[in-house]
Amino acid sequence: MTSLATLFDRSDAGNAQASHQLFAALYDELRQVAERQLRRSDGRLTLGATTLLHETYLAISEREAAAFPDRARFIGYAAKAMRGLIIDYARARRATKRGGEFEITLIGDHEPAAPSGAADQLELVVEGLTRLGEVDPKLADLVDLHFFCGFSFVEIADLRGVSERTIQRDWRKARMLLKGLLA
Amino acid sequence: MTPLDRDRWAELEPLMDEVLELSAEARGPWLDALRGRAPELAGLVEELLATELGPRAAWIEGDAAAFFGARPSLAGQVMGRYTLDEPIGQGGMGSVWLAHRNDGRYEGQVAIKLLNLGLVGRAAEQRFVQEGSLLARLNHPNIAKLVDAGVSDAGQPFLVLEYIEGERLDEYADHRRLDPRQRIGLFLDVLKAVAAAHANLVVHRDIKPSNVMVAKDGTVKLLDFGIAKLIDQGRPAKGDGTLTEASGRAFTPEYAAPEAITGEPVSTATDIYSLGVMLYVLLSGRHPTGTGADTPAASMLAAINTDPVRLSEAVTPGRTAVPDTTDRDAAARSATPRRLRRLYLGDLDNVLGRALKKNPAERYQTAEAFADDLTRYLTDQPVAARPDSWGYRSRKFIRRHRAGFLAATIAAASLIGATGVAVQQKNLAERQRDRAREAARRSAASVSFETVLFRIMDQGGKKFSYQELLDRGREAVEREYRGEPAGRIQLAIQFAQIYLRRNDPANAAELLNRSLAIADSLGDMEWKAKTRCELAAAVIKSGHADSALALVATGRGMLAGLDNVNAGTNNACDLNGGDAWLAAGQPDSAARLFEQVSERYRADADTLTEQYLFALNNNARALYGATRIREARTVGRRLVDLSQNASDPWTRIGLILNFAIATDGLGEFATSHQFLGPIVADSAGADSTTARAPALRFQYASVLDRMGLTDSARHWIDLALAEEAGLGPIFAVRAHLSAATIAARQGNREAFARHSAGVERLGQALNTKARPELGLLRLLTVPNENGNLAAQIRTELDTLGLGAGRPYQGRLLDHLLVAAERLNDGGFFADALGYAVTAAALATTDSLTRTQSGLVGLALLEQARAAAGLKDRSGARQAASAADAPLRFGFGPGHRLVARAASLRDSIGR
Repeated sequence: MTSLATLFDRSDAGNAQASHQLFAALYDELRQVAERQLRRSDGRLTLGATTLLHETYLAISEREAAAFPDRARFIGYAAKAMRGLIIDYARARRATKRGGEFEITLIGDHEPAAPSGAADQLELVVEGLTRLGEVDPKLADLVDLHFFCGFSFVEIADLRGVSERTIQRDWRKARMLLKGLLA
Repeated sequence: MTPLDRDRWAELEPLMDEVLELSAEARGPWLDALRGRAPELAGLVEELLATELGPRAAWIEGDAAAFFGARPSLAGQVMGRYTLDEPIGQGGMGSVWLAHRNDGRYEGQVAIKLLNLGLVGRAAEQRFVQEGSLLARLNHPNIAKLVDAGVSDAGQPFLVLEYIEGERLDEYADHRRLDPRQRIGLFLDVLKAVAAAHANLVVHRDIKPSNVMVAKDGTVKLLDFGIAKLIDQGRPAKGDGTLTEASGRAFTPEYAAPEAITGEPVSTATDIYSLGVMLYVLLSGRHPTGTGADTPAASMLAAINTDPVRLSEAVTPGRTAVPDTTDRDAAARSATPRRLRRLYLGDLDNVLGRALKKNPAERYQTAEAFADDLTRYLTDQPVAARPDSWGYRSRKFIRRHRAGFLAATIAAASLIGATGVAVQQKNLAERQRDRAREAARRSAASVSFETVLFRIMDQGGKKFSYQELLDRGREAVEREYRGEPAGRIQLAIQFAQIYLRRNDPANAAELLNRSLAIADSLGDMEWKAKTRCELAAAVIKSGHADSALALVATGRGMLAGLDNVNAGTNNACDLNGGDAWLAAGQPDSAARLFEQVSERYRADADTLTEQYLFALNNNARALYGATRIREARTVGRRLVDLSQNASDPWTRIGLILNFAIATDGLGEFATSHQFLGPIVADSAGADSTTARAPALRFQYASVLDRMGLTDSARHWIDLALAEEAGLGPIFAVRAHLSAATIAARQGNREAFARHSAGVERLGQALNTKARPELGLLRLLTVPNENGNLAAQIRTELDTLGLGAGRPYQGRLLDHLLVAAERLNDGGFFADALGYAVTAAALATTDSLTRTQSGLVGLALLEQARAAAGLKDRSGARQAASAADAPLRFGFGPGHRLVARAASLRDSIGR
């Protein structure tokens, strides 16, 4: 199997297949760490995403040793995988919510309500982010870093080597675009 | 909005950058100018800017994991007199939150530690609070004060601590490159704090760098004094004795003294050892018995087994483990390795050697003695610790404690899980993972539904719709678990539950019927019973309550004959049994069953689970259905407190909504309003696919109307009715009725006609279930023709069965109140008085107390009006006065009804 370090290099060079493989590999790494955490904590993801990302980075870099890219580069790629993980987790979790058993039925409502016709918000979010990624990948990455991975604006500004103000402005743009695209 | 693609955005983005930097006033002219040269772009800019004006989309504001329900957020939860603000830390003991006092008595922020103890029982709770108040008396400038210790209404133990803003002592020292003398100086403050606590007979038991802070003003603060002990005592003892004493201990392996690890009595000397480790690390950057990068188990073994490396050796290049960091470590201390070695050789070696003795009796006996020696070192006087103390070998200690040593190894194994320290060794982790996967494949008991779904989602990164996922999952189960009947049944049950949740009882029943055949051929009684009980749930949703009752009864009968039935199986059966009773119109039987299940969960200390919430909520629901609203309120209040344990926002909202519905039924409208406001706000950001959203909006509208906020009420009813299907027929019919009532009051004929038609349409479909709503609509609209209003109303009420007890589960009161009001309005005071008096009596029965129900107040107000109409002045005055307190409580003191009762009372002369 190709090493992660190689995938990073090829992906940086614009190899789409490598990017895809890299995403899948990082997703899997994140998931393993998350699942270990889930087993420890009675089914609740108590670790923050940032910690999860960090733990994963440590695990990989220890294994791949010197050849492994720096943290900033790792985070750039892993943030997208983190989004995938959280969304899949939310989907699975919702699916796992066992039947009627955990649904809190309302007092005084003996008649089962029909499922709401409202759009599925989770899927809406997924859709919005996909479209944002098509319109402006840089802003989509920002959403992954801030919303999904929990990095502060200061940290992201550091990662990208720009000012915090720029990141704040980008964040507003991302938010506006998402709302606009979904409207 | 206007379609936007990559190229268009490239044009737009620089403009957005520009406009976002402008002040609000400058934007207008800027946009005008842009419109002049590029009208289309200007329109887009405006559209985007407008998105910031609307409601904020909560899903993008917070933290994804919490938002999507992957992680519960406790922000805003109330712990005693405090409200949680934001998480500031997470540790083995529990999470730490920044919080503020919610009674306005103290301005500053505190840190609240939520302890991972599970819920504590009453006895433990008392001890916990008592012990906490003892610790709260510990007052020392270098000790972070324990402000309070308590247990939330939901049973979550918590500690309120002085919030220290600052840096960890070790990081503080490293960042400032403090030299050894400065480090010892700070450490002496730590010793002062420890000495003060020891004088009060409090042992810290968990001294480590993360527990020592340097506050912003430079004061050293020791955190968490005595808390380790508090936690041990608060830990609920398990009846089966599986929780070993040693594994229950709260300590940090790297800093724990040997006797703490082996489970022997701890004393002040235990703290001395940890202090020794800490000073050693502060001065050298290394751990006395290991590198610190090992597993907790290795740290613990080393503490018992390994003699510490002499401090002056630890800082000498080439003498200790690779990688050699002595240069860097020395630089962080503004020194060279040579200089450090010279400083430490001799006296400091001896001081630390004595503090780190394996045998507690050979250590410094007090923190003062430790401090004295350090002070002597700083002032170049001879120290009390002798050089020979270093060379002393601890073999004797180890021999003497061989038994304890073994216990420690076991404890260490369980601590890996308990402390949440990741096992770094790769191969070990991989072996564990493989084992877990293998186990998941083989053992039916641990088949994880999530595993199946994850595997499907893995396939080539393809996206699946929810339904596809479900169907593929089902196929995968049939395929992969062909040879494993138990696993197949287990997964079939999980899939069936999802189908049920998606209101697809047919698919659920089909799956379960097939499982029933497998279970029967398997011959396993528990699986046979389990499948029947699950099938009952599907049958209930298909509308066959009687068959469901029969299935549950059979299942329960099978289980009764078995030993060692999984508690979950019994509970699941009874929960479905309760539902069957409810569907069969026997809420009292249902309530009894739900209560039994809840009690079993409670007895098993299993109260943090959602099953418990579910059982308890169903108990509340059944009690409400049986018109035992006061009891429903009590259970509902408990659920509000427990709702913080719910893992998804809608469970929490649902629980609070239910309490609001119960209080509404008891006439506590102000209370209901107070609880609904925040969850309505929360719900804006929560996943809205659930049918709960429209129901919440309707309930909110209903209480807003009670509170006299009619326009808002109309707004929310419209929102709720916009999703009539999601509202469910019962709530929908009520929503139309409320809307019709408001329209009638406001003289809006068009709206009235529309909504009363809605009541009729839905009401007919619901058959008898909507009788109260249809009846109320008629009561509201009966015309006063030929002065026979009283007779007509009497006929209406008779038709509804007024004489036959209380058929409408609380709605009867509404009928009586409407009847009384209409009769008073029409001048039929004698008839009105009769209904008002009955209503007052009924409302009193259905209230917490006579003075705590707005419904009692309303009835008394009508009674007063009727008495006044009949010229019974004293009766009217009395009733109007009596209405005051319940109206104030029920609607809030500022409500117009309170003023109305007062003016009525005052207008009646003596």
